[in-house]
Amino acid sequence: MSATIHAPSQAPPARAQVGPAAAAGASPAPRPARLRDHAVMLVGAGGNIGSHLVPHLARMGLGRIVLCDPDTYGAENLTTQAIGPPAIGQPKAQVQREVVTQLDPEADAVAIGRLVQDVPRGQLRVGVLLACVDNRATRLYLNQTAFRLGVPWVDAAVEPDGLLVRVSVVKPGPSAGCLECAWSDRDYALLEQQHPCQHGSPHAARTNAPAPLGALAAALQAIECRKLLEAQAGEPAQSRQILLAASTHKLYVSHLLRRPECRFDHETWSLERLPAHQLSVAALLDRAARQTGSNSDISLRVEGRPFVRRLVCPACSHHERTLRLAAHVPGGWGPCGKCGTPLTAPGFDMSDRLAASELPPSLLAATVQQLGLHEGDVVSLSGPRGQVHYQIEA
Amino acid sequence: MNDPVYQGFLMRQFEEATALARQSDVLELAPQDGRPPNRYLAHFQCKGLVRDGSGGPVEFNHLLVGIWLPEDYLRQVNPGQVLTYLGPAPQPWHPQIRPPFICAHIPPGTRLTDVLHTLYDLWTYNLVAVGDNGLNPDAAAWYRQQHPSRFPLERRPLKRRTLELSAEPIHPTNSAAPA
Repeated sequence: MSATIHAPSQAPPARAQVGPAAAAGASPAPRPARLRDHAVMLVGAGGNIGSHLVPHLARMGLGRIVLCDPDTYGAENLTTQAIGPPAIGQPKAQVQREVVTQLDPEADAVAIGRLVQDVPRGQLRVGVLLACVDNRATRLYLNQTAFRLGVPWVDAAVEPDGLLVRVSVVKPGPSAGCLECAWSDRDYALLEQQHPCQHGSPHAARTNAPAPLGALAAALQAIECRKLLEAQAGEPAQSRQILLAASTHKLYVSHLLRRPECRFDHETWSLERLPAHQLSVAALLDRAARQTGSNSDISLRVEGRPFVRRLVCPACSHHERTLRLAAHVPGGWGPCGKCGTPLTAPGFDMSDRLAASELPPSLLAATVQQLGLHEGDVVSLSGPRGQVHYQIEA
Repeated sequence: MNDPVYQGFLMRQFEEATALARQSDVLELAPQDGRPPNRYLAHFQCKGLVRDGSGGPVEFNHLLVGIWLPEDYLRQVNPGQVLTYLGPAPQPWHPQIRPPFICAHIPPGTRLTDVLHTLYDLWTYNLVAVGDNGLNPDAAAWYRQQHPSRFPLERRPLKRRTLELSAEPIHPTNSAAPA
């Protein structure tokens, strides 16, 4: 399913304000047209917080709502998430997409049933990123992505012990604090890791937070989202963390300050959209060389996705040379040509960057798609005199 | 890459790890390309276990591991990418090793010397995860049947122990000899 996101300046055209109520003969509830130019993305759309947030977003009159969640509803979700029995067994993103469609047929609701880390980064260029996730690793990724794309993000979390709700608003800027500015060594040590002995993605332990707690977090998050999109809605809690202890009725607001020792570089990239249909790797390098004033010392990088140079069969040790961008490919790297066992990519044969000088002529002549770049991917090209960042377009 | 924090980190790891290798009787460390390098070949010459032709574990004195410290190593780690089993034995015998993977918990920003110590402890059976959900459940089951006194396999430490002695010569005094 295409999930291309338009930046606010390229929003989908306004549509007629006709909904089910008008079709039934009643006066349709007016949708605030001023938010039709805006798009938001909700990561963790189907969870304890996300499922309560979706209706709020649908009632804002947004132009596009992208709902990202890789999970499927189970019976245990009925007591904590805003769903009914028909949702059991259904993909969460799809269920929530239906909620949006019913409440606001004019909104473009897009469901992505994958991990957000598997979504081409350029597709996260929206007006506001909303995080309702249950693990640190995804928050880390969203924090980095928000800064790279210059997109404000609102993170929500709950803790049933103490009935705690936490909402943080981060708007990337030259001196803005980020999520990691508040992290200690212990926070990094607690990051979920994908170990080679594990199957599937690592998951944090379920909070089993009660539904009202998720609803409370969602309400706060929706209010902050609206403030970010619409100046008349009030001053957003920018660079602040709101902590509400519902058990004791206490509210704490703390500031997220930029910390010089933060492990994150806080860089925001200026992205150039690059039509890449049939674009060769050589042409991409030439363009970057001209823009950066570099000659042949250009290197390619897709942040978070290393280049793979060798594939190995764990069964028979057969190995194959390759040069491809790693991706979360459901089918993996393909079978071993000798024994059929799925191939793996050893880390020692990976690299973050690919130097232009090491590319064989065959790869220079290949298209960027053959290298592993797809629509929405953000590729960075660096030379001695600077770097450029392109968002690949069809 | 123009990340001074990452570059500074790599330089410190290079200095500390090469110093450790100089002080070790069991470790040879070969930095790979890069200034400072972010890739190393670590060759341990110490006792571990491999599977022999009959299927049983036998002692083996060589372990070669590739270590890669990617650009976001200070913030997030994929242990399956940081460590790569490179041999030389085709069938190592350890619950946490199944080529090319070595399973170890490496928090972001872990020092390279700590990674090397972890690899040494792992190979010599001083560090073992005994559950059945590891990379080699057969080795885990075998380990649970062994007497603990058998481990670790290697008695030499990774870092050579040194003993510093300060000795002063005893000088004869100038007083008269006793009668």
